Amino acid sequence: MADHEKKDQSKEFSRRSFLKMLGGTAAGVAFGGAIPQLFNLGGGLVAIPASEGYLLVDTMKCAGCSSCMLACSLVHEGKENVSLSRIQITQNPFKRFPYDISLYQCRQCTSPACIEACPTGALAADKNNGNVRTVDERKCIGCMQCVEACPQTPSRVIWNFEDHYSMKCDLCVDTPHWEEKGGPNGKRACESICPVNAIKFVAEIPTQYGNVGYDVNLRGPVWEKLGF
Amino acid sequence: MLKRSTSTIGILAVFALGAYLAWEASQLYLYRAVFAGSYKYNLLFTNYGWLIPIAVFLGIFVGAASIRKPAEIAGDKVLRHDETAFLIHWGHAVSCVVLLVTGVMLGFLFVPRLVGTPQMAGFMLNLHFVGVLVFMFSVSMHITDVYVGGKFKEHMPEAHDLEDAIAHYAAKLGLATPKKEGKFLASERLSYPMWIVSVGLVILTGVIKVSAHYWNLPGELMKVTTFLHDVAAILVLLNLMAHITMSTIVPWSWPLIKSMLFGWIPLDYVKHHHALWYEEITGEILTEPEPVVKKKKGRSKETVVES
Repeated sequence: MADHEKKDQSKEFSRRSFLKMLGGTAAGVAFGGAIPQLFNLGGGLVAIPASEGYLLVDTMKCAGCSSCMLACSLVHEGKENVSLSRIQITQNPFKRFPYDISLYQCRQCTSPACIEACPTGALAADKNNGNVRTVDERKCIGCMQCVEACPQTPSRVIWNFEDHYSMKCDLCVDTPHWEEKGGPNGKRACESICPVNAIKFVAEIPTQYGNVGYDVNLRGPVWEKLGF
Repeated sequence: MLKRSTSTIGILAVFALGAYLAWEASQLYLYRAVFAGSYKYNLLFTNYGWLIPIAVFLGIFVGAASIRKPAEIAGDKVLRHDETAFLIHWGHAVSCVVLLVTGVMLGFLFVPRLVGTPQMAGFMLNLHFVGVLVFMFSVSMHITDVYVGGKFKEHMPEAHDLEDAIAHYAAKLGLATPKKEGKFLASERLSYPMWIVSVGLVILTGVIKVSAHYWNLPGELMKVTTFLHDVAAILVLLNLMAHITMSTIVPWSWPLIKSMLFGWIPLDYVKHHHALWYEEITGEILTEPEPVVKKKKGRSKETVVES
């Protein structure tokens, strides 16, 4: 066998042996290192700072005009589409005033299940904007876990069916189609536009009543006579 | 070296087991019993991401441990694709299809929205994860095989390949005289860098996307990464479509499908379609490209010779 052939063979052998050893060892080490993961049942405590802002809605005062839904969709998405609104109103024709209207808004939960469920950190407490629970759609992978994780019915996390990402009330922190400054220290589109003042922003954590909502009474003395 | 049957069972078993686990993991369960309850499912990318480096290292190990067989001639047949080629090719093929189908179902707007529930989104993402494992195994095995065997140049295009590829297909249409081709056609060599770019980009962006499950990466980076991942996926899809078209629709490629499955290709086919490779493995020098011999239907003994 010629010398150069022997040299080539030994070179190939050393390359092959090295990669074989590297691949086998690294796979073994990686598997060994991952064994504890197999027994990791999760369930650790997650400390998420409380939001510095909350929306209160008075369903008895709400007239069901849907202006808040249109405004929400417009300032966030640039189009008036009630399906793209992060606040939702439903009207029940079988119930009588003032129990016929329901208003569903994100409660900015103190222990948000949606944030815990998000696998990529797309849904997180925005530290730069008063810890409001917001979705960074650039990070959203469309797994819909947050939509399902929200303990409220209907879910306060809305699925953007057009662009395929989750979205929720951010107290108007990220409103590219609105000239006003939003967020806990600015204005909220729904609150600003509501003609009967049925929506109110507060900075303190409101008293929560189970699954019913916050204890809210925004009605004035004339409400019983006029209905708004 | 793994046998074809072992590789086939292995690939199918991984996908069958993976699909079962993907489906099981995507079922909702109550994880916080507050008010109406919070439900979630398990995302394999988050829970089993560590399997990805293991798949890569296993690919390197198997690639380095596989001794390639030379082009052996037995009677009127030549061994074109050995067991290693079988595993690498079909590993790539099946995983590529799974990744593209699940990726397209999750991502594109022009496809009817088939993924409408969290469970289905979870199932698709989890199936995508299973595809990633097999794909990363196959890619790392191929890279190791090419590196160990010093075969990179063999796959890369040469200076005159573009003209040769045009001449090759012109000859097939009867517009030019056929040229002698090696083991790989000029057009195959031309497509190799396109595979490197598209697969390289899809893997690079994929690694960043998987990393986002473990580290808090900037939103702007994720936006660009997701866009590039989509673009790379389209490039891979186009490459795959061209590859499947040239290997299944074009009749002169049909014997290669057989050899990709069973390994052997007729020596006569090599003589007519890969003259340079024929000369290399037989030592016989062909003076000019052999005319294409076509069997006529219904007359098995008679042949019609085309120039």
